[in-house]
Amino acid sequence: MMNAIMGNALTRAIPALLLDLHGNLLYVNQGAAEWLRVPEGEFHPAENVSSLHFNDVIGKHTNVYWPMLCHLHAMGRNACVDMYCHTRQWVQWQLTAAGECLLLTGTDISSRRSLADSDALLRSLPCGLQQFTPEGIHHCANEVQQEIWNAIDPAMSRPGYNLFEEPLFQETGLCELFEDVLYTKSSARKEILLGYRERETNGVVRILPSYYDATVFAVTDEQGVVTSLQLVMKDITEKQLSFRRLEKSSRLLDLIIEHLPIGYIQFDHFGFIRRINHTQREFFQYEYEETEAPFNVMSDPFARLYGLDKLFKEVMVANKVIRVEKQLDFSKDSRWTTQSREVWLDLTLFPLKDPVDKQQIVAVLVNDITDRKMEQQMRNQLQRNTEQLHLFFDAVDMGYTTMEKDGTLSFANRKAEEMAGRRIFAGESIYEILPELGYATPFRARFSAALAGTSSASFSSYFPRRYKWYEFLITPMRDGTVSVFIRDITDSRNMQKDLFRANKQLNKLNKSLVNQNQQLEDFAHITSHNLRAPIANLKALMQMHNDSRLPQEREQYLSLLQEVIFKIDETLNDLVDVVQIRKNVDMDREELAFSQRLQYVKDVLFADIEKSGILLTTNFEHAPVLQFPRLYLDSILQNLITNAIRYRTQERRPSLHFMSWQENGYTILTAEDNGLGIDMERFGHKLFGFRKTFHKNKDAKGIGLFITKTQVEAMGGSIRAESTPGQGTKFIITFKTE
Amino acid sequence: MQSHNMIFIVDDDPIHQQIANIMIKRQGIGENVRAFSDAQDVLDYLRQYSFEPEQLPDLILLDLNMPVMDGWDFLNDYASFYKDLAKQIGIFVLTSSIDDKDRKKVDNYSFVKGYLTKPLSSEIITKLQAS
Repeated sequence: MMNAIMGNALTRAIPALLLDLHGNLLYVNQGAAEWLRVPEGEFHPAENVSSLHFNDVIGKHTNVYWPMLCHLHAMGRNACVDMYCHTRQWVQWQLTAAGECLLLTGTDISSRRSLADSDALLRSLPCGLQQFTPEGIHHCANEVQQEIWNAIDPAMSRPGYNLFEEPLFQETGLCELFEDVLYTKSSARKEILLGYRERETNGVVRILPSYYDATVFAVTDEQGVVTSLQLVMKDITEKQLSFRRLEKSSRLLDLIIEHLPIGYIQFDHFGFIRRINHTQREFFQYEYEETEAPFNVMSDPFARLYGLDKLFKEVMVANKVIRVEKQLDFSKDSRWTTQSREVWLDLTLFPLKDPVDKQQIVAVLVNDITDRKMEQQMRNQLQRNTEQLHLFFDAVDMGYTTMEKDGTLSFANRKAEEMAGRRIFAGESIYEILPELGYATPFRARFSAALAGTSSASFSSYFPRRYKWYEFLITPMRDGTVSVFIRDITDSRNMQKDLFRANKQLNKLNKSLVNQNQQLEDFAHITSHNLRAPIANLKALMQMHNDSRLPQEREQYLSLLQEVIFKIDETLNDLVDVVQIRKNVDMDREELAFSQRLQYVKDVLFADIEKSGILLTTNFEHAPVLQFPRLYLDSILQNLITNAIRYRTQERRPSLHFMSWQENGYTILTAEDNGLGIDMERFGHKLFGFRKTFHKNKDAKGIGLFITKTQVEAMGGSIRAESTPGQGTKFIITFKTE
Repeated sequence: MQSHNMIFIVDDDPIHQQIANIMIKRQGIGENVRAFSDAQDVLDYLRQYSFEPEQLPDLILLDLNMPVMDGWDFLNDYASFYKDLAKQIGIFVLTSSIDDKDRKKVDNYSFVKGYLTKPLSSEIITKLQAS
């Protein structure tokens, strides 16, 4: 009943819903049913047949659910919810109590709602909006716009402000903009600079410009009369700064390309040159003239001659980077350059997409590598020469190395490696390869001196561990390195040594032969003089004997013959002695003490020494012994003493002083007497001759010194004499020591 | 036959002195034969009697190989004064040396009349007589 009453009432009055305390719909009138698109009439939630809930019809569309609404109602607050209905209307549902039930009445609030939406829209606008009267008087401005002006001049958003009188608007051109819009009634747009502001970036405060995009449009009524002028301003500082930065980067890029240290050529899609940078223009020594036909790499004969067209095509088609070295003879072309020479170019071609028309273009980096190529060619030539030189040195039968002054090797030929007994690598030290250099040897000293020197030096050295003789020629080179030639001279050295030895033996033999020859000649001379004379006597006496008839005479001749024969026998015996001495050149030597042998001789000559009263003194301190045949030394000492006694002077007591010493590997014995002395000028050359006497001494036979000389010389020694007549004689004997 | 009054034999060999003496006298080429063992004695003699021709020998037979003073020393000394002698003396070298060098060397002394090799024979004495 109640429901029916309510239904009728509500149906006639306003759209309404009757709900139980749980939010279940009990009744929906016609108006509410249209807005909510639910059946009109009663609902019976208890039967659970076609029941509907507040949340289904309103809550889920407004996000305001039944408990929230009930809560507001219970708290005594305004429990209502706005909903945009299917009928495109804004409806406000108001909850009120209705007995044991609750009543939800709907009110169309579409008109109120649009105004509120416009305010919200203005507030939410991400840009500034300011409204002016057609006369330019400020009417209103949103918050964003007010903030913009606040930063510049707050007066610009105050009531009564006239934009046409504002200098800033005039300076920035905004006045003109408004005037245009007022005149044309269409919108106009301008980017303006509205001063500067501080910005902190990474702790640094910078003064940066503030750019704004200003759009002005007019609002007209139905008759087309301007009712207001609207200004929309948007902060485009970031965009402008980005643009400026981009522009700056672009200019920088241009500059970089222009002044790249290598050439840059840019071709368009068709192969026409569109850009050549400064470096490349300098290289070409060529200024492009506008009147000239544009150059095309695909059709230019010079480019085609060197296959540049194919390169271009390949880059375009394959869309890949190509790097190639090209040798171009510019003397065959006058269009590209006035260089007129042959050049080597390092070309890097790479495809690019034109940012504007999206066509593929080709950029070429050009690097003039002519000098490098020439240098490389020279280096290759040099290397070839060096290799040939090395091959040559390998073929040479002589060690050859090049090294730094510190001994670091840069090359060693095959022979040098053979000598070293192993491979030699560049960078090794000569001191490691030749351990002999590692010690403080004369070789090391000579080698180091030669290395440090400025002129060639050669020397040879023996390497005992290798049993080798090497000859070194060390030549300092102009580049500071040192060339060392090493020759194995072991064979030649050995041959030289053998030759030297053979020569020495030959010399010895020759000397011996000369000596023997001399001895033979001497002997012939001696026989001629000392045997021929008695033989001649014999012959004469025999003739005389035969011719004589007188027995007395014949007896006399026979007596003389006997005397001659005796003399001949004596001479022959002396000669036999001499021959014997000369024959026995290899007589055994023994160590003899001078003092002992002298004592022996003194004993033999005791009588003569006593009779003459000769004083014998000695000094054998410096050479007390001698390796010599005992028989000969005894004979020598005996002859020297006999001589001193025989040729003593009556003016003083005779004396003889013996002295011995070592000198240059020889033993020297001197015997100095104070006798008669000999006129060396007259008799010196005959002093040691056979049967030569120089004094009228009857005992003198002239054989003693001859025998002495023969004995000394037979053992490789020599004898000489110094004498002053009336003062004495000094015999000096040099004994060859074994 | 030419006969020399005085002949000097200069030789250190006493047997040769006797042989020469006997042969010269037997051949009769000299009556007064004097022998010297030391050449220096002869030079001293010649110097002493250089102005007395009758004391000077007509002929000197000189040996080369002698002790103390040999024939060469004698000739060298003699060369220095023989032109001052009151008489020209014939000097013959009489030696046992058959060395050519000695023979050629003697040629250098113009005053030496000849080079004779021992033994002294009758043929040599004949040559001496001829000279």
